[in-house]
Amino acid sequence: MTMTLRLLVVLAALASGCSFEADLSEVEITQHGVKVPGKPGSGTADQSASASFAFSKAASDLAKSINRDVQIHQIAIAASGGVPNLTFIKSMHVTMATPSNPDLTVELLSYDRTQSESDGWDIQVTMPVPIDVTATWVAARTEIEIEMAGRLPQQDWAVDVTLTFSGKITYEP
Amino acid sequence: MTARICIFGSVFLTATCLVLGVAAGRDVSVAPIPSDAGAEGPARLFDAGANSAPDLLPVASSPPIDAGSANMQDAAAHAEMRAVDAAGSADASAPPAESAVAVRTDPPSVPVAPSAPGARRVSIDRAFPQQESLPVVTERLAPVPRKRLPLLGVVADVGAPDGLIASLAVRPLKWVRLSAGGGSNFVSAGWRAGVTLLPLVDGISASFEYGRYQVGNANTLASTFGADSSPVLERVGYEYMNMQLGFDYAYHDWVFFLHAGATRLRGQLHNLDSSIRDATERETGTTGTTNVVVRQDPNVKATAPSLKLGLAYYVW
Repeated sequence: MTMTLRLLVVLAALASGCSFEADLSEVEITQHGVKVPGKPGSGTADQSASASFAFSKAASDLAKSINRDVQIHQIAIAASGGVPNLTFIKSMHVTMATPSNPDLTVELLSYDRTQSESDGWDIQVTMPVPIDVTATWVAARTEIEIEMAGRLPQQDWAVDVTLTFSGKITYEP
Repeated sequence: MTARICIFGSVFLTATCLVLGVAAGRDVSVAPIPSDAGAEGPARLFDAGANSAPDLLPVASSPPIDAGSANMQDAAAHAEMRAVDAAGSADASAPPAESAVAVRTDPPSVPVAPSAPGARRVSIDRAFPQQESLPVVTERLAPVPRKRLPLLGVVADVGAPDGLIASLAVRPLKWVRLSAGGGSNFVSAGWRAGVTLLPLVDGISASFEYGRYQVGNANTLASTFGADSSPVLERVGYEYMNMQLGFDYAYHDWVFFLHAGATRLRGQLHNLDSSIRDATERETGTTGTTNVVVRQDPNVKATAPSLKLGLAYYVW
């Protein structure tokens, strides 16, 4: 009986190291209405503009709790205000960064519009190889920065930015 | 009882032989039953019959000597044939008959052809060397039946993540208990099957079980514990696998057990989108500018401690 109790105690001690893992294979997080300032007087020449945002906390709590194997599969940017489409954009760069550690900045997208895409209303790029952004994603604050170039509108306009990604939520004491 | 049968049979056969001998006009000698022919007597003679087959002549399997023939030579021939048959049986290691009678005649030896190819030819003298204890009726003692362990039983146990389970149990071996049954985790119905190994029959045990619970609404259970309802809890279901060590204490046909160990859980989370929207609305009052959509319900795996307390009763 004594040996049995000892075994039970040992087993309970081993079992107390419980673990949890949730595998999210496809999650989309969209930031609506990212404002981009207009460029007065840019009617004939190409100019550049930038915008950045952080996902609102309440909605991204679950997404931010993904803490392992966070991989970006797709980025989509669509016009949501001020402009009918994004055909005026010739190039775009999207990066993910954390203000506290610039070394963790990851480039998500480097886009140059080709002639065949001249009629595209939105920009949607699927990564040939998923980009691992775990280190940046698990930081306390994660920002997305967008830089665009082209014949930009003179008035303010807005876009919706969607990231499609996968990852795992794990917990091990 | 055995001794009484021996004595009664001996007296009866002695009288029969005497009558037959007198009727045939031959000298017939009948040995008395040994004084120690109790429970051991027949057994010893029985053993002698097994080792040297002709010593005892099975009666049950042989035709009775017809008193009407009154021919002791025929009787001796019968006896020798029976002895030869008995020898054949002994050679084949056949179990001895339940009773046997040994008869000695004078002249003791009658040439008789073997009843079967390969059978030994045995004389009555060899069959009863130097013994005066004839005839003897032996009765094989019935072996004391061993009490078998009950095979079938019912089990009830409660624990986590098993919930409350009622099972049927089968014990094909004394150190193995198979069980299968159904129950509830207070959210939905489910089933479980498993095997428990008891290397010492009673005491330490090792259990391996697999179970599954259907999808059910866990908000009612959550509200019992004061938790807020959540869309995620509307569809909760899982499968699990237990690996437990424990102690099984048996008392007659009852077995009390306590098992503890680790459980591997697997399931899916549903309605995560609704849960996120709810959280957003509570925080800001309106839907925020960030929207999260979970395109595929996440698969969840967890390893956690498990505990189970139960009672088994073997009914047959």
